[in-house]
Amino acid sequence: MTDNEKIDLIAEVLDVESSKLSPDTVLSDLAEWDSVAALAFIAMLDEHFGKTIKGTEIRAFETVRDAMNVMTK
Amino acid sequence: MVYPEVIHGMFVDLRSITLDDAEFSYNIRADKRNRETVGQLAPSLEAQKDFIRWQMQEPNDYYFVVLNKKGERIGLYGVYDIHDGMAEVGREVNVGEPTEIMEVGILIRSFCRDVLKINKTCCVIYANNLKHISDAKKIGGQFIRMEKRSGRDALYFEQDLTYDNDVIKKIKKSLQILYKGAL
Repeated sequence: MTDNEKIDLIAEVLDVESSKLSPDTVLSDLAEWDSVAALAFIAMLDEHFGKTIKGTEIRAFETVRDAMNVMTK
Repeated sequence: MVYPEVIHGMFVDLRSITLDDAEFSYNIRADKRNRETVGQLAPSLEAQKDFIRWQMQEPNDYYFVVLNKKGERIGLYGVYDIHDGMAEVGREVNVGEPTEIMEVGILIRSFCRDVLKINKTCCVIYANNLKHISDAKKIGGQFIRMEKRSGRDALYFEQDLTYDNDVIKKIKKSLQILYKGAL
């Protein structure tokens, strides 16, 4: 999966336009990055990558790049 | 009041609190991570036991212990002051995973609507609990008024259970994806 495709999936999780995101976007700067988005991210990771992730790992994400780094099979 | 059944979810179960949960409930509410956001703390473990004894026989008052699927107690959730088609939800503490925390909210919503047959809930959130206030608004809570609870400023919200807004739909959709993945 390309980085752009990963960003598209993260944008879907956050309900924002992909153009609003880059790998360097700081997640805490986004009002949309909340507990509902965390759940949606967990579901997306399960659905597209067959992976599970702990809440503590998600809370440690600082940037979009951190989220992208776990989006691997 | 003791709800006689266990409410089962995919990630959590909810069962009525018992006296055996007194120490757990006292400790989790007194935990410094939760202290600023939970309501009035019982002054002692014995007082917490007294509260649970009172709660168990109080009509229209349900208090659940949240368990993860390992059977570990990870939280509490109350539904109380049930009258005129409305209940207050609160006494909430939850230290679980996002999947567990979100499922608790959906299960409680279903319990209120499908078991208690009520159409509206209310909740009171301390003014310093900005995250919970934000969450309440996002899931469709309507701010009604400011109140004082235990001498502290708090916001009173009401929520219509007959309608799922986009955020509730998103939570349910995410849980459905995870349910499918778990089967």
